[in-house]
Amino acid sequence: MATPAVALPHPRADRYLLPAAGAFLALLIGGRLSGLLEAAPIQTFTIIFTAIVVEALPFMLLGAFASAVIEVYVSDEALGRITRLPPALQLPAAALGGFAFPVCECGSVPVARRLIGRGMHPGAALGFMVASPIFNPIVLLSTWVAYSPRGLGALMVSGRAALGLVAAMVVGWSLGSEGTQGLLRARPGPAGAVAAHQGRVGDDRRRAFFEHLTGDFFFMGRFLVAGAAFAAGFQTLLPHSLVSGVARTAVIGTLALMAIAFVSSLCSEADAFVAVSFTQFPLGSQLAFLVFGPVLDVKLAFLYGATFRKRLVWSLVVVAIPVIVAGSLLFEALFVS
Amino acid sequence: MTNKAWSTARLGVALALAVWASLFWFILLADRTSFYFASRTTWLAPVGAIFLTIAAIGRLASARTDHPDPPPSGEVKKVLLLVAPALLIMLFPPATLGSYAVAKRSTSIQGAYVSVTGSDLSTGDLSLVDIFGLRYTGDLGALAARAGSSSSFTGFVSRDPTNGAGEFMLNRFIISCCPGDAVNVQVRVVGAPPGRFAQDDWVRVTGSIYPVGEEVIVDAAQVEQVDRPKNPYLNPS
Repeated sequence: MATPAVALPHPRADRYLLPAAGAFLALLIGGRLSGLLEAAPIQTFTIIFTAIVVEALPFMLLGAFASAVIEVYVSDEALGRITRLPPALQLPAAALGGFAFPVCECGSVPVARRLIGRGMHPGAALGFMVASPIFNPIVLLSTWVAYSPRGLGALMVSGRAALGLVAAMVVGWSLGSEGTQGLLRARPGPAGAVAAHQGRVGDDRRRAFFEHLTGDFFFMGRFLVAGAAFAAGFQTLLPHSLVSGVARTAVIGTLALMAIAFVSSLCSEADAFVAVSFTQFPLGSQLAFLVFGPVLDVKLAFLYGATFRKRLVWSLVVVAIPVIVAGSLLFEALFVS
Repeated sequence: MTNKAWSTARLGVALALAVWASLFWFILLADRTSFYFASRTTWLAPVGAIFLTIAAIGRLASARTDHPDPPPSGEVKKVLLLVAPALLIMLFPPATLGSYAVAKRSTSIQGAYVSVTGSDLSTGDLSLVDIFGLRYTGDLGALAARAGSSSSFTGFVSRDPTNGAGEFMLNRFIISCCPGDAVNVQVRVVGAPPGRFAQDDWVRVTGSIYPVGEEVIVDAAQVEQVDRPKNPYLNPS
């Protein structure tokens, strides 16, 4: 059963709201008047940063809409039909089910927990959790939009979908043998992490819908802003020529972009616009970025830690990294080189 | 009957969504889409504007609650963080990548980015996108047949250490999705009036073209300063 979202009271917040907003605006206006923000490096950073955010935001919002619809208007029973399948079919069915239930990676964690609680085979639930943020129509559409102008839309969409499904199946098969007791933490996670995805408040569905929509949007939005800032800083400060030497080494480039995906914690509905900007990295490395990020990043590590036992998180790292590195290198060798 | 009151936290969220919705409408109405979107992704601007408006109105309509808690302190930071890019865009005049970015960004790109072959360019106008495509395919030699012919290019000025007096690099960025994936295409302009044009000035150069090694040289017959084009970035064909 979903835990109601609770806005924790914080009596000091009102006191800080106006000064914080005022200081922030003063900083911007001061920078504008002094000309400091028009210095070439800062202007370059700002242009790239704002462009990535503006480009990715509509997709993040569409994802939040879809997630809110599922959360509020689709019953757990609809997802739970998979539990009536034979165990051997549950994992592939659950992994493919992501296409019908497009939730982002943060949404998929509590959904997976609920599915396990409703009797789904743990491997199938883990497969759904890994696949749904990758193999879903909004994510694949955004990948298409980001890469099709370079004539790479079909290649990257099919590569992402295929490698995402493979990763989901391997994770499900290898980690799902744990019983429910060995998988889930006994106690619920931090309210703040989970509440953003559990917006049903009372019986008012419309209110619950917008509660969930905006909760998702803001929860993911900060990671988008941080990720865009990271990408913009990377492009502003580091000359491509300096990075190119490292980037063109397939394995190192792939591991480097996976590390960036882990740190930047982008939403899978918007990450293709950041990935496509790493033009000096091979396409296989960009694919690894696109598949690894939705499987494991900083924010997911927190969510996993709040939902599953610690051993599962480490097992996920051990299983997912080799699969994604090998898959992206194979992709590069077969379809790009 | 319950007494409902406005929730500050929900109003803050509605306000942030309204700021973003306003930004997307502003980009559309002020005709600034070319600063943020490539030609194939401009549809995202109206989609963003409409969905953000719906979200802002929906949040506003559901902002009255039985228990209006003050916003948690984290909520304030989240709202400020998310509106920061929108405020940056609205507070500043539209800027484009310039000579600083030329020094940092690549002039090549992975994958089949621009498909141009030498045979496409035997006649007709030559564009900077064509030159980029030829450089990408390593087919710049195909321009040899047009050596000495006249072409005209518009771009901004940058200088590098190899430029002599009366020389500069004329640049244009090509974006396939947004300025985040911009790549630079440039030609070397010779025979320009020394010291007349500063970095980042937009100019139109007309002159004879000569492919030399991995670059195209334009022997300028005329160089005139122009306003920044309405579409400052080029899009791949």
